[in-house]
Amino acid sequence: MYRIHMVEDDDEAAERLRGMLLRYADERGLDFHVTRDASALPLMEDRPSYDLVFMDIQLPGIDGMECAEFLRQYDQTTPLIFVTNLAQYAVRGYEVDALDFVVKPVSYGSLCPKLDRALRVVDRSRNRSITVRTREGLRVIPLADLVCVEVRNHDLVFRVMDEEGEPLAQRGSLSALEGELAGAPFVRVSQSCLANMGLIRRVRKDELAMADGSTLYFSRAKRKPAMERIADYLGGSV
Amino acid sequence: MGVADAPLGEVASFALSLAQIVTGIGLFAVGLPRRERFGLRLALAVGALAAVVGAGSLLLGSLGMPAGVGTGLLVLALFALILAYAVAALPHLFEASPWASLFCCTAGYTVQNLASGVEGLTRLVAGPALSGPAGALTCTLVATAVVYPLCWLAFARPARRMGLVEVEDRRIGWSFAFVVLAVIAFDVANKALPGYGVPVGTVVVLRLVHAAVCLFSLGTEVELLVNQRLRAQAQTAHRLAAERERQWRLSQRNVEAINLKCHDIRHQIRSLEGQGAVVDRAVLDDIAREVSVYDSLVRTGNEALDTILSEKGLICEREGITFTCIADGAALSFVAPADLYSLFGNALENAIEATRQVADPDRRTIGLDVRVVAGMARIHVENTFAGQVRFGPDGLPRTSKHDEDNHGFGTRSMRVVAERYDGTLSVRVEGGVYQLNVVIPLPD
Repeated sequence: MYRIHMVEDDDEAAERLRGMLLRYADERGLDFHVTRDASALPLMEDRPSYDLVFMDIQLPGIDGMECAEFLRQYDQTTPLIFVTNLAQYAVRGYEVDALDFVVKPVSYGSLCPKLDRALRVVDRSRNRSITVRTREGLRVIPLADLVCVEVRNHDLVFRVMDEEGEPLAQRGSLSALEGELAGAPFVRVSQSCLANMGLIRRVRKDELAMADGSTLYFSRAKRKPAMERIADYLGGSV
Repeated sequence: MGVADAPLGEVASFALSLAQIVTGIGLFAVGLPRRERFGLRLALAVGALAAVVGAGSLLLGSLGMPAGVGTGLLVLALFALILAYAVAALPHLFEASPWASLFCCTAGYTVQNLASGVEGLTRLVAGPALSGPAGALTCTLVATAVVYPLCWLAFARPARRMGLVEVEDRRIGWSFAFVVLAVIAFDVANKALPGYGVPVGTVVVLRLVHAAVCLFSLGTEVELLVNQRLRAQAQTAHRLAAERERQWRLSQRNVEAINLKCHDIRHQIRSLEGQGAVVDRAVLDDIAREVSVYDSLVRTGNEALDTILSEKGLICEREGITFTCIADGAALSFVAPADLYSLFGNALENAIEATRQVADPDRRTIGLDVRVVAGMARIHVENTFAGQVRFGPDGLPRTSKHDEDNHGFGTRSMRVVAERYDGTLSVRVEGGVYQLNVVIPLPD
């Protein structure tokens, strides 16, 4: 179930968009819960959380850009798609970390690829987790917190965000784990390391700086395919 | 050459050598397109050669063994003649230029020479055990069976993969012909040496030198060919890049000119309105709207980017393609304008070309997104398309155009540009939408 919110003052435009969203969901067997505000205020006052927000730029009072700036102060992750009359207004969408924009009147054919991409991004933060069988017992780790998995001797070592002390260890093969995590944003950077693309803070030519401060290195053989996968991920294509 | 000094029969031994030469040349010529009635042509060519060689060997036979300098020179002359004949005959068997022919023949000859040298070495080392016609034949066959497949793997196959191109430096062809003949002369001399009482050890060393020279000669020839091709490709890429540079400057001037014109037109519209003249309001509005199309000029803060995106944006507008663009120009400030033009020019032209063919006009759409992500400048271009996309082994799409060398270059040259900045280009299809992603690490 996806909670999709529209901030749109024009009733007709809102109904059009709602219709298209429901049509999209219907065609793909998805469940959309679509809500709407006619101004930016409710979002700013109540701060509800949604999976995806369509924000009209030309709003009376506080316009869409300003609202987005405000939103980003406390929420850096909810994907935002601007709706605008003129493409020019949205070119600077990156400043508020907007995912994309659509131009009115919205056409269904051009909306579909954008929704595809938006949902791919939304699905990244959907709660998937992995169960690790350590010697002490079972631990369930949300994938969003798993920085990387490394091979040390015959063990797989799981590095988790914000966790100090002994990292979790489990016997197993990295390739098998990679298979288990298929569909999740992980990339094999070397024969002995699987990294979480969602927790990459900075990519350099030969290394990855991760969100927990650690650095992972590419092996020469894996660098090219890993970088291509990272390129796809950062582009929102996977 | 496999001149058997046992009474195997001059004719038979020469026939064997002939077969070896033909096979050697064949190793390198097999990739060439054959002319029609190839079988007939081949039979004629080989037949003529056999006749010449047969006559020549009879002549040599009549001169009698043992060989003296005179005979040696005659042998050398004979093989030079055979080489010349082969070079002349090959273009009649295959669709090949004289220079490709020169390559195949000199390389093939060298392979045969190498086999002959190995055979001689084997016989020398084995001593009397392998004398006699049966022994000679065994040596020849074994040497052939060992040397030919190895040369195929090491030289002929890689050369074939690269394709035989127009070798521009013709001196290479001639110098290899010269080397081949020198090597043959060396081989002939080696064969005569035991007859002069030169110790076996010395002859073995000389034979090894001969083999090494053959291998080196083959390796160098193939290497030069490969490099030639890469150089030719680089030249083409360079030419295309220069073309892009020229286009970008042209576009820049165009865009500026259009800007100026629109400004003037708007000014005139305003003055018309101000005068309260009897002008149809609707018509004025129409004109204003037409002119506002040029407002879709993109402003990203990066001049080169602005130019290329505006230009392609106008094309999309004209073709009814929905083009959405989010671009942080500052993200690519470290990339040279010509490279930006190349990257985005290629990406958007490919996208326009592909999405234009989608049946439903509503679905013709291109999305472009450029911004900084994870310390990299990230370019994302997606577009709908019709039909299938097949990917090659390098992860890039196979071009459907016949003119592969110029058009297939589009995505490939984007990758070259990206990699020049230590970046990565990746292409995939997701949800029926073509996705191009380029990431380039920001300079420190």
